[in-house]
Amino acid sequence: MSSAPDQPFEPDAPFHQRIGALIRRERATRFSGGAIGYLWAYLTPVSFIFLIVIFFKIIQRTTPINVPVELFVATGILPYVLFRQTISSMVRTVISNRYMLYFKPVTVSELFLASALLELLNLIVTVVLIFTLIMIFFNTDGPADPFRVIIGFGTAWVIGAGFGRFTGALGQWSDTLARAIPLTLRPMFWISGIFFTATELTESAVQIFWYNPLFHAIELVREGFFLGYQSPISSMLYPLTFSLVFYLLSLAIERFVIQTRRARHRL
Amino acid sequence: MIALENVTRLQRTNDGTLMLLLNVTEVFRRDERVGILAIAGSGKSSIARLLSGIETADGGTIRRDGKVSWPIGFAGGFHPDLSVMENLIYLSGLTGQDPLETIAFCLDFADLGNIMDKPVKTISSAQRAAISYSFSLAVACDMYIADEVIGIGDTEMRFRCQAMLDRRLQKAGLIFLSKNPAQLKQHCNRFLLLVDGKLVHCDDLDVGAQTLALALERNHNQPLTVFDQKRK
Repeated sequence: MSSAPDQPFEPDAPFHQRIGALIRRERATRFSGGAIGYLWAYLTPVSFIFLIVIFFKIIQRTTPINVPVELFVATGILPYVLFRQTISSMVRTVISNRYMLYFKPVTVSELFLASALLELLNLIVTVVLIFTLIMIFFNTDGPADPFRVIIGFGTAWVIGAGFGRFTGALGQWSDTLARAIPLTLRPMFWISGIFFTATELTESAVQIFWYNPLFHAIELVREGFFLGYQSPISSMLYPLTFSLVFYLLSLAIERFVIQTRRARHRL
Repeated sequence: MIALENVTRLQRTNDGTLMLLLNVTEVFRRDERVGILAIAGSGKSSIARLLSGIETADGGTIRRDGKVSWPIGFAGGFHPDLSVMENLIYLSGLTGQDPLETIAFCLDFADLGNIMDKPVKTISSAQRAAISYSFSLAVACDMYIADEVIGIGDTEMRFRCQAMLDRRLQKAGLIFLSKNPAQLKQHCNRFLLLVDGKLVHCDDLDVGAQTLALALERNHNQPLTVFDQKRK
């Protein structure tokens, strides 16, 4: 044998390159239907907005803030879509991309991160597209405080990422839990302020709804978008703490699943 | 180099806990080709994943200096809906390889130019094996792990596999787990037996094969020793 043990070691791909490769692969596999697949990702939130606007018109509900109903609904539904799709995507990735763990040093955390970043990138495109179209067609102003809008969307993403990692870690162990937890989030559609604002609620209702972290994110977006609008439910600290708690729980669950070898799918 | 220090790897089943490795201490250097002879069902694949860093040990520590390969020929990373070329591009990014160099290597080695644009789900299992094998060797590593698969295809292809592996092993080490003593003799220069959760040094693989057969008989034809039986 003519081995050379004193030679330098072969390098691994750096972190950012691994994340980039995972994102590109995930995007290619998720939208394997080509252009129609991509379009579908952007059409889903548009169809949500369209249906809710029709619903508003049918029940003749006026928006609590003096803006077109399309814009009001978009500021509520888009953070919600970001939150939900980040969770769904993270739950899916840890199972469907598990064989990527053969290519060390890829870790479960990197699978989660790549998946969550892809959702964020998709939504940035969707948000720019939808708000631009609304501003053109309904002749509305742009956001009063764009930075606050970004903070609001960022908060929705962080909540989704923290809770998504938690659900994904549980999903490695139990398929039932992985399916059941997203189902329990269905009511979030009705209780997160998509159809109403916190200023319309009674004081006692505000105290209850305050514990819904997504409500904060949606109200942050509205505070940034609508000049003069101030919400009693728009803390950044609470949703971030909520996300951090679930992130830490997910680490403990992941450790438990690995150490006790309880993963439902073998590598 | 891969260094195991008091490494234990157990397998929990409905009947109890089976012992794959128990307090094993061993060093695999970058300048050697180590063959591990083990009977079927004794946990070779789990041990290969453990050595590759894909799985964790139940006890002890494993130190890896340098880049360790995944088990040679592993095909699970190839997504069935993506083309062979797309798979190679994404996996190259993940492993730190230049995608163009990887594609050129695979084309040259496995001669699969006609299937590069086809989705993996439409190619034959032999073509899939060839592309998985060539990708394993396209990635330069410091230690290669082989779990039964060390070559693929017909005689000519196996000759090319051997030649390419030899080229890679000029700068890297090999750990080859197999139940086939003849294959181990062909590829390795140091031998170990996996018996009762221990790695035992062995100079003569024929004697080693007999030892494993006796151990299996003593264990009532159970390839793995029960470490902790559940009470029923």
